[in-house]
Amino acid sequence: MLNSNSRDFSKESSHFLFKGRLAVFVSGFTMLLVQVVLLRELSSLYAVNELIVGVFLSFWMFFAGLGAFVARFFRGFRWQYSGLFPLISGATALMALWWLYLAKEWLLPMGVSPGLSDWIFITALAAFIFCFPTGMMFTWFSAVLSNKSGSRETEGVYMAEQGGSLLAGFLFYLAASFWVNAFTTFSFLVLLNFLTGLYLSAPVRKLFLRGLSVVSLLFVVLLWFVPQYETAREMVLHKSVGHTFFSPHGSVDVVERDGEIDFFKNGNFISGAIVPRKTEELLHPVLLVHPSPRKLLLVNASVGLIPEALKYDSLKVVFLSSDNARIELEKELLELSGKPASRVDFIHADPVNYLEKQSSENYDVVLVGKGIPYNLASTRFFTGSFFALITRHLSPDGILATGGIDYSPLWTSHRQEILMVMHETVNGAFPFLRIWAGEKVFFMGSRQEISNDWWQYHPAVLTENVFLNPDFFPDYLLEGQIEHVRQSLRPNVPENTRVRPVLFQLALHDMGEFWDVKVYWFVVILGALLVAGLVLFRESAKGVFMAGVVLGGMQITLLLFWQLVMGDMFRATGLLFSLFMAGLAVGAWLGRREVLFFSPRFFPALLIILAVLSVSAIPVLDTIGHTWLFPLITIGFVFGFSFIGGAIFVAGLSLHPGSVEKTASVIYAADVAGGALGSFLSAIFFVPFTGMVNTGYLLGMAVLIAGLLMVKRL
Amino acid sequence: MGRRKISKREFLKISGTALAGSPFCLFGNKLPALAGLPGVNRFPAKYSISTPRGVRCQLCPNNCKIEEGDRGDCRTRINKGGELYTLAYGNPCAVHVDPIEKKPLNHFLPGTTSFSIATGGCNLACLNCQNWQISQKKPDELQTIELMPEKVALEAKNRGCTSVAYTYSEPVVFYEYTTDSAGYVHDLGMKNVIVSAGYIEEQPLREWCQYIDAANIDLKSFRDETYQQLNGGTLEPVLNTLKVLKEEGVWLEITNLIVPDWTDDAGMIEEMCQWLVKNGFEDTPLHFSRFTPMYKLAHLPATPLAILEEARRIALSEGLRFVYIGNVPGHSGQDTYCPSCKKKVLDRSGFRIGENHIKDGHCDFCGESIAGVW
Repeated sequence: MLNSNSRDFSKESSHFLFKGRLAVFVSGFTMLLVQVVLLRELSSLYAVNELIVGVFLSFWMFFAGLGAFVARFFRGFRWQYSGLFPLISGATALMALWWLYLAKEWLLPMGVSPGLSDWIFITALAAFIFCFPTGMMFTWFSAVLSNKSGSRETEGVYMAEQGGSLLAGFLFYLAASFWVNAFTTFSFLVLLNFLTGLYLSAPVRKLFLRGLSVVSLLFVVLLWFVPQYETAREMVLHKSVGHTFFSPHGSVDVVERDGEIDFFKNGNFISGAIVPRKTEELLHPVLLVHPSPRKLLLVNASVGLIPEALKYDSLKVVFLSSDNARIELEKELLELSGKPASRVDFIHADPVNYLEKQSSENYDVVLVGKGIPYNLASTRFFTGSFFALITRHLSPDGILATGGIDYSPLWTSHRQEILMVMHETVNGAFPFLRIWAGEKVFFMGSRQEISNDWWQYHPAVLTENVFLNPDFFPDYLLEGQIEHVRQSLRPNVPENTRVRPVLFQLALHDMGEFWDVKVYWFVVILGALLVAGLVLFRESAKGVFMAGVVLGGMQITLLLFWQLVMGDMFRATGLLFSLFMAGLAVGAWLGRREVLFFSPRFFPALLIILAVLSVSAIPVLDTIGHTWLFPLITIGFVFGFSFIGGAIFVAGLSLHPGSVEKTASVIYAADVAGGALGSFLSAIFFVPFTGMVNTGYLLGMAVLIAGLLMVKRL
Repeated sequence: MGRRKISKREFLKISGTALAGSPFCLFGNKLPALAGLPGVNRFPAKYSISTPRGVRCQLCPNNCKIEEGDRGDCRTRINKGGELYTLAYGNPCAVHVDPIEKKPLNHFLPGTTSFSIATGGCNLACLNCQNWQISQKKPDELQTIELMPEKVALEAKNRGCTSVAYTYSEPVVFYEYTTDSAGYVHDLGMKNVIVSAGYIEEQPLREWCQYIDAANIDLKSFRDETYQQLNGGTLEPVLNTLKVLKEEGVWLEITNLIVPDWTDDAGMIEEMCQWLVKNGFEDTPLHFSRFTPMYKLAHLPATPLAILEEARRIALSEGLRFVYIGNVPGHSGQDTYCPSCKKKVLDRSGFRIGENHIKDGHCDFCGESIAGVW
């Protein structure tokens, strides 16, 4: 399609180049924003955990790559159709978002939670709706601009797209605290893309088309003012949404229902105005056995504990959360309860980082909630190192309370193992443990033995709490249940740590108990695809494929580890993604110019360097986990991986035999297929089943083998 | 045998494979095996008929046709050599002492404790099951203990219980275990209680009634369509169970879990109450229980208190005499009121019994008869 004899580089072609690159820049900007916002909305609407990032990214790469590949078969690449692509891109973004809501209503009616197959299908289709046509844009503009200028414009287009993504990534990171709802964001993107489309089509000479443009523009502007978010939320919740608290961690919907208020956090029901009574059980036992609690710290705690805590005279409560939506919700609940806010401090900060920096604060009771940590955001508060940090902030007779799993006379093996790991992890930091097993089970850790009677102190508070009233919870029942839990515990179980989050793995098993599809089937299919990739791709494409697997996998692993250390993965996702993409572009540039070892001659060496990076990344990052170096070194690793990845791509192109078109399509397919497989496998299997360090090790070993096999002469 | 030289490439392949395999040794550090291995006792099952296409189970309305080696929908009944066996016998996965109020049974020996047992499996598949970890599993997938029928009775006696409750999952699926245990339980002077969805055929139910002293039946909805979609069953057999239990003189209490959007329609509740009154269940305690998000219905809110109170109001106005609100600690709807003088005759604080003004089955204030086993 490329007509190299068309024209010299002229003023006109430079005009088209600018227009085209601007369109691709806007496309890059749109893609990154759509990626992070859809990701956030997926987790918010379907209450899935962080592993969705890997699954989503996998489909994203696959469909964007497929779109780019299919666009090869367009004929003509005529400029006059260029304006259509931004329009399609903007419209499909909004359609993908609506699909998430409609799918929830159609496929999962009446409050049914999604199974594994549901959210994989829904994610795949959402990614397809947007990525396939938008992926075509890259090929289209590369070809059409090359036709216009008479020289290859692919690199320029690629740089423009990465520039747009980078800008979006930074903007998203900086503006995340001013979170607006997804529909408002996407309506803005529709408008932006519509204007871009108009600009590409300008000047519009026919009167009819001008009129149509103005009407369409008005429609797009009006879209902004339509209450799409409220409509969509009401559709899935079946009730009117009073208002929503947004934060980079998710959203809390306040829903009015039959005269009562319910709160939904990320799609899951968390509380109604009358339910917080139930949560009192998480709080009172620990406060009742402490003779004089003066200061209470709540970390990752359940909803509605503050009004309960204020029943203790002179107790000061500190509510520490990195999620501003949760803080706003607690403030609202406090107001509803009619209790004074003067004894409550709300601190908006990441608990791990905050407690590390604080040295003077001491608490009598620290409560770390809640229940089974089904996501990494909660898992990070159940690690041995975090409990050790808590010990530094407790008064000598202070108590830590954590856990909150529903008591059951019938523990499944996973639940029992979760209890054992929790017990072992708390015990690692506290020599004395006491168990409460009422409606909920939790552990109280202290440095001095607690032998007080459950109901010994604060009788006035006790009478106010029906849930804990000894009349309600007879001693014989409590003792029987505590004994049952005690008998369920075993020694010598692993502690939950950051690099080996056993608890998270067990939580996934627990969650998988009622999934309709077994994870193992996915692994078998993906494993087969992996083998097929290794067999089908030949020569350097094999190396590119393996590099793709490792890059996709390590990108996800780094993101998940970021979540464990920093706790704001959804906010950082855009930034890290865009830096990664920019790094790939720089790596490709270095590879093209054969700077230093970024050369086809060192193709095996590049693979081996990739292996070294994979194996070392997580152990290195873990050692500096709580220092200011962590973000910098993580970005360093992101660049390291992406520079090498970009160079491998270019080296693979140079080394692969065959025509330019064939080589380009094979190498591109190998890269995209590997990346999609790597991120999916890592998210769904490697990280949950083997932990972070082993994921890096496995991926590193795989690419090391590929690298060694490509060494022609030893 | 001569030594074969290997090429550098082969050497790399072998060593690479070995390297790739090495991380598996890192996966160690496994959790220790939990005490108690899955136990299975194969025991001949009652109520089945052989057909040319396999055995047909006739215990519950699912009427599963079970081919050789297969199990029924309940996961507990298996066809071996053309004979039907139950795998849920003497191998409970849950054993616990509960207050009788927890079943819930409010008019049956209040203030006593019940030795409660369950095995894995269930013949329904409720989306909101609160015991799905065992009900949706095969008995051999769970950790169990061996507790044969005679031992059930002895354990219950030793723990000072007044009754044995077959509960948590679904006693229909461990039918033979319950009937065999029930005999020993009666021999030791205790009572037998079932907490069931009542999804059982009439003939086995009539036999069951010979052993059962009290039952709490979960009437999950009053719409057949909802029963099918929410629970995987049908309404008619459950209504029949209620009638048979009443006919056979088993003390009966009914639970109706109100699930928002599924079973919270006031019209349906009214219809259900009218049916109960029409069929002579005025004195049967009815518990409107509060749903909390669970299992596959985690995206719903808990039942609003207003709906529970409205349901109670409807039931009372339709003529039911003892209507309770469950799963709401501290609510006055947990107490028993005399249907005649409207005074509180039995105060409940959670699982603890407070002031009791029922004397010999009559209201202490006005002498009205209060139905129940006191």
